[in-house]
Amino acid sequence: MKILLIEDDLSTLSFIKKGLNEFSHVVDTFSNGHDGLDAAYLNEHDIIILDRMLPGIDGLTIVTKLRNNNITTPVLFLSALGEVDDRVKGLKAGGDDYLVKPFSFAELIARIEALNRRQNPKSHVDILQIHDLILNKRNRKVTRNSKNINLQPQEYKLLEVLMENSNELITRTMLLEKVWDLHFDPQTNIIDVHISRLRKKIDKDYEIQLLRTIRGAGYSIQYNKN
Amino acid sequence: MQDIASNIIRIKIVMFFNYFKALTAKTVLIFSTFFVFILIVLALSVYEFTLKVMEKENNRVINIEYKYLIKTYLKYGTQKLMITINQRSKNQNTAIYLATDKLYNKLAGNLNSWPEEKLDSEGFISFEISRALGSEIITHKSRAKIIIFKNGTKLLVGRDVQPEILISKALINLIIFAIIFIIIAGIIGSALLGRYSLTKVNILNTAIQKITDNDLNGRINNKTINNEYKQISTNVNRMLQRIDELVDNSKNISGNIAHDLKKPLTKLKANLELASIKIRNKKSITYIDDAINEADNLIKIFNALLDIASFESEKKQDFKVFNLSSTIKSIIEIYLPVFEDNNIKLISNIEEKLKIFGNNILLTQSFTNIIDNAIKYSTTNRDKEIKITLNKKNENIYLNFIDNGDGIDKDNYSRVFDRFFRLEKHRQTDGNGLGLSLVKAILKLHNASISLSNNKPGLIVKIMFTDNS
Repeated sequence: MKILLIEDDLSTLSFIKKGLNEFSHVVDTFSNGHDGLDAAYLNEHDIIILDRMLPGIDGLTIVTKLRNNNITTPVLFLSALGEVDDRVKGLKAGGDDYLVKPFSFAELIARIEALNRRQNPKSHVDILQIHDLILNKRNRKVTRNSKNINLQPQEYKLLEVLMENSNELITRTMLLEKVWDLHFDPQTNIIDVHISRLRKKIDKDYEIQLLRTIRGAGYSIQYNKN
Repeated sequence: MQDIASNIIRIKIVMFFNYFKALTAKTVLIFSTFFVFILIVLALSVYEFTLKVMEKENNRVINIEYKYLIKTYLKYGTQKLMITINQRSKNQNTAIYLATDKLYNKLAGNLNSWPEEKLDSEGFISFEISRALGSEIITHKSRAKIIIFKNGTKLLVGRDVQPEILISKALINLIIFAIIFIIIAGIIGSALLGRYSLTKVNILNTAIQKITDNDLNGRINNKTINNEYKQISTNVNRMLQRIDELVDNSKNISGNIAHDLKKPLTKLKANLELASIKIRNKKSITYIDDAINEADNLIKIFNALLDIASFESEKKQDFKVFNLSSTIKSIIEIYLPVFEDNNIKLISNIEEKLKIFGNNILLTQSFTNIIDNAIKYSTTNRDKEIKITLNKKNENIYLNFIDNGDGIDKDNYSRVFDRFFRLEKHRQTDGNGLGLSLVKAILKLHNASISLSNNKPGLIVKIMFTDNS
């Protein structure tokens, strides 16, 4: 993936760059808003990672200008503030996702990849399928091996989010946001409880386990023959 | 109507007696009592002294007259004495004379009969007697001296001492009047002074109470006072200013520390993550992952501290009217499987369509925090239960979370909202002691109050949103 990173704090910038390079992404970096905007106008990148507070032009203005010029490159906002209205403002201005510093690389990578998938999204597809597990968005029916699976609304929503991002890591934070609209991490392990219920319904009676726990990072639904 | 009126009177009487509880009133009362005592002593002395002086004067006059008449008798004989007595009796109103033979038959004078009273130690005789004064017959106290001559003639020379009695009576009346006056003045004065000092002290009291209950920004308004109370209130205000500054400082310190430490911690964590990507040795990765988790915990604490600081600065971000009933319902829906897994029975009673003005995301966070605590601290094995109720009463919205878990000691009700405070029995469990501080800060931002009480066993968390939108 070709990533444009605009961040004024040089140490954060170099850490992110190093980390992304480790995951074999190509990263162009700029530390001020003007240069960053010029680079974004070239429209060559798959993803823009953008700091909210920048010298020159701030992050919000950059996104607004890009969208006004019909440049639709997905934008992931970074912010040290992380207050609620920042997130809302960022997304309203045309940002696609929002991440509060400090974040883990796993989180950043998962989100970047999720954004990239949205460019050619599965969400337009009505029928999602992993191996013999099928989710039909139109009638909200789920089957495995042609057997009907009865899911509660929250279980359905959880499975839908996982299947839209099948074979990819979905972090716990992403699940909290996308499934339950919770923008903080509760003390109680809500996710574990819901995942284990979903697992009982879709995986328990089958030899091949589709719902995977990625230790310390999140979950993924994938089909590995071995 | 009469009941109300009599009740008002009763209350007024109670209030009136309350004035006497004031220290000032008590002082005045004690002082009045002391003053009455002094007055009695003083008045008695004056009374005694006055009577003595008058008695002495009367005795002196009687003695002069007595000696004169004896001389007359010795020089000119009985005949002349009788004439003199008769002459003197006519001219005098207060002088008393009586001369008799040895059988007490009257010879001369303005008394009709010889008194039967006995002599006192000074040779005087005191008696009460009726005599003619002009056309009137009067009964007056009198005192006299007597002598019996060799020929048996008896002579009594005396004075009407009624004025002595009148003056003493007047004196006693005056003293009684003065005492009554001082007692009444003392009671009224102490009530007035008590009321005055109570009103002034009450102004201070209510102001201080308000400040303690609500916020340290309040000050006592003392512009209209101009006496010693002004000095007290000025000093209290200065003290509050100082406390306020100290509290602010301590708040800022934790915020500043969190802010300053967050950045190096982030870098530390980023480096650890980079290392975990690079390293292929599984054992090393476990160590690094543990370190990353610890770093995450620290970052969480700092984030919570920064959040609390930001809520306390009262920046109302993203406030809008939203449906609180739906929010609570969706929280319950999310937690339902959690309750089931923990064998907790949920009872909910949520009134529909209750709307408030606030930040939905923040309030959701604070409510889940309370539920998280209820789940976490229900460690006993009896039938576990959590009850969540939402209802509106008198324009206020009440949200209650009632559990039958471990509960909190009454002494710790206010302390559990302090930053980093943890109950001794929970020190071993996970947690950073910031959850309820965050809850309180978020609720305060919404002008909502939170209070704890005992469910015997368990805890009742009551949240009240006042109608302010």
